[in-house]
Amino acid sequence: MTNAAKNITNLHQNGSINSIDVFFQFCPIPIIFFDKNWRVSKWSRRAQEVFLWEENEVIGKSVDEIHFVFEQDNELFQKVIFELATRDNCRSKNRNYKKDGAIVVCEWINVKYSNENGEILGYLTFCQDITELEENKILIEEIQHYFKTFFNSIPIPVIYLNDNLKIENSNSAFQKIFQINSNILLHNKLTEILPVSQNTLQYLEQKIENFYFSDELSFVTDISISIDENNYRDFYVSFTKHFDRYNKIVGIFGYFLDITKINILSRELNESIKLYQNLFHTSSDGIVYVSNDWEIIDANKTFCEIFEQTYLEIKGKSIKTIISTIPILEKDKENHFIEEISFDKSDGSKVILNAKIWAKKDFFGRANGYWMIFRDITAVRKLRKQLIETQQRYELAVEGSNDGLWDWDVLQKQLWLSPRLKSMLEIDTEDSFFNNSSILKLIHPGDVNFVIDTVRYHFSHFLPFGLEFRLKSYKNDNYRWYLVRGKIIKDENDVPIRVAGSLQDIHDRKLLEEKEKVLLEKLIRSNEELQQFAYVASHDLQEPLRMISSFLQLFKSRYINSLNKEATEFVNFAIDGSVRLQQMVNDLLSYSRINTRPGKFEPVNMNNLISKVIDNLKLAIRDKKACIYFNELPEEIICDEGQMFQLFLNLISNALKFSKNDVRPEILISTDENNAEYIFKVKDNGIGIDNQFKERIFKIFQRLHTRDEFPGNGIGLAICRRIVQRHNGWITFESELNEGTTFIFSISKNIKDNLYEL
Amino acid sequence: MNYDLRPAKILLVEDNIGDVRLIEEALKDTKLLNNLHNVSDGVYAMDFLRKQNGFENVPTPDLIILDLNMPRKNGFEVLQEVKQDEKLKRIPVVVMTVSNDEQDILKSYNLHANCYVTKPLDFNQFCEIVRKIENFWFSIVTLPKREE
Repeated sequence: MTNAAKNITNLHQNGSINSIDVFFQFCPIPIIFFDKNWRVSKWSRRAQEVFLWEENEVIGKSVDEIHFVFEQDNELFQKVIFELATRDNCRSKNRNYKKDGAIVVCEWINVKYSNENGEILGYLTFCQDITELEENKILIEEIQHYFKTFFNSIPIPVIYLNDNLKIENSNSAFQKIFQINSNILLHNKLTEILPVSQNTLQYLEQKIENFYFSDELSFVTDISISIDENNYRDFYVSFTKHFDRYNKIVGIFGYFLDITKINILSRELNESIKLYQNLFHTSSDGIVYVSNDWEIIDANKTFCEIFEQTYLEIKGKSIKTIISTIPILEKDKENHFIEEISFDKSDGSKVILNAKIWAKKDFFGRANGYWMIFRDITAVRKLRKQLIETQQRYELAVEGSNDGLWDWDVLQKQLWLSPRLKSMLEIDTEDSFFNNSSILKLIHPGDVNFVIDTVRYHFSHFLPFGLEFRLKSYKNDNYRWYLVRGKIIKDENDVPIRVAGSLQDIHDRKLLEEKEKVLLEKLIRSNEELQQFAYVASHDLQEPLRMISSFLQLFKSRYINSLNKEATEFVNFAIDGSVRLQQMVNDLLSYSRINTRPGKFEPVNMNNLISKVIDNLKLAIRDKKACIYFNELPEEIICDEGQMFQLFLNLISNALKFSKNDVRPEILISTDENNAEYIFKVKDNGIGIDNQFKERIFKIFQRLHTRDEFPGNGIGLAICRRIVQRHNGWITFESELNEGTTFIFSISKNIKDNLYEL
Repeated sequence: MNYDLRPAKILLVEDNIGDVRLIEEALKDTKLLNNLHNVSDGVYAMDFLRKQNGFENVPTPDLIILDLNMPRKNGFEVLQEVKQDEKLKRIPVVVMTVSNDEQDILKSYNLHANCYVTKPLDFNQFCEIVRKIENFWFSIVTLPKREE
């Protein structure tokens, strides 16, 4: 190019500028000649055609003035100026504007033009329009990019094998599923890079090879490839030949569709179908599938059995010919439940069924038939009837007993009350279920803690309970006493789930009990006071009495000589009376001491005891020449020995005292026993007692005879009775006047200190 | 026998003046009567025995006749105090009371009474018993030497 420039320079110098004009006129490429200040001095014809400027329009103008260089490429142009300061020529590429503003991509050759002295005369620039070339290049790049993006973004693994059947390309889906780096894949055979199951791959490769040499354009196969030991995946593989424009095979595209999930789903679907068929055919419910026109499409075995038909008989028949009462499902209704359909069997028995009908819809939601399920509820109905009867019977029984029933659901915290219970508490509402608190607040405030504590205790120990407490009416504040019985019911894990029981009105009984209790307390108190009174009175009476008696005697002994007969008599009466009164006070004291100063209840041998009594009375016995007999007596009875001694002493001495003058007294002591008590008899042959005095003789200070006839204060039998009563026994007598008397008394075998005794 | 030449002195603890009179009557013919001292309750009895609160100049008795039912301080309390007192415990105490209650008797002896006598209902018997007491304690029994 340097030579060409020199030639041009020479031409210029030789004055053969005309030849240059011709060159400028016909050169097939645009040429521009700039002066040393980069102003256009020559503009070729081709430049006119390319850039559309006429030469006379641009001569003498700078590139800026004709807005020649594309703004973004201005730097490139400056670079050319700079480079040509030090060099003779340079190449450049930039975009230029045409006169009409269109852009031209140009490749430039720029040459410095100097004279012999090295003085710069100007610059010669040659240009080639490469706009079309550039545009094609960009298009290709874009197509390549488009293909690459498409290739890598499709979720289907794809490989491209070259004519040696080695991997030329693979997309990221392929690399991802086989977990392989793209570098490793390149220029390897499939068998060389896929990890396991060589047999499968060899098979695949063989197939690909066969395919490659065959006339087929593509082939497909299913294959299972193990990615690693635990991960097998099923693929649908498709290979397609790739031909170049000369129709020569250059490679093969391979697609790997992962159908593992589809295989699993289809297996599951098969199972479901099997299961459905099993259920359908073994169901204890009768199932039938009918068309929109009620024609039977399918029916299971149970359905056939219920309606006494064979499958072949009913298939295709209208269901209405079998069950005429079947209702039509309303439009827009998905399903319908029929409580009861009855069907008369051929043997005359009646079957009761319930039925559910579903509209069957196809994929697009259009009704294409009905499912119907029939259930035989004959037995259930029968059971329910029995149950209702049983319940009614039970309720009748409970109503009869006047008790209310309740049932507390622990988990739901709900209390069911029977109608009777509701009426007892004057609850008017229709509902039979109540929450806990509404009933708890009916409990008397004084009882509520006791009730809760006791129930809680029984609850934790699973014990049945019976509680007496007050509940008020639902309507007003009238409290009544109730006996509430309950039993705790637990589930299989020993968790209490229900408490159920009864409610009994015990108000009247309770009031009576309260009254009795008050009465008893009064009785005990008055009894104690009476005993205290008797003791204190008799004790304190002794002193003044002794004064009276002593000073009367002193008076009598001192002044006897100065008293006349009548005065002596009076004094004697007074003395006699005071002594008797003293005796009575003493007796009263003994009587009251039976309860205020009791002995202990201990085992006593009655034989020894009677012997002691007899020994004590031996003087009187000797005087009366009496005979006392006793057979074998109990060797051990629980009693108060001192009092028992007193008892026998009194009875035997009475027998001796009230004996007939002319008959030798005979006294027989005998014994008998039953489960509850010992019975003693003291029989004499004395004067006897008139039966009309039966009660009187056991009362204190009651006498049947004058003191002249028989001495005594009438305290003995009263004491006897009191002793017997303390031993939870009774005393009576059988007698005939002048024949004798038998005193009979009992001693309980189970003595309790009796608070009631008086 | 070892007789003390001085006449024996008796402290009669008794609130009932009737009884005091009866005992006086019973002792009428004996030389003891002049030496019979009477206090009307347990508090005075202890004052008498301890010679305090106005009883500074009384003699120490040779015998105490003690009633049980008395105001302020009863016979059991007096008995207990006397028998627990080092100076007084050797003085014989005759409990003489109207009660024939076994528990009273037992309690008295448990408190170291020297004897227990129930006042008889009959006046003559009463006189008899009082004289017997006098005879027993001052003629038969040997008492420890008195400390004055």
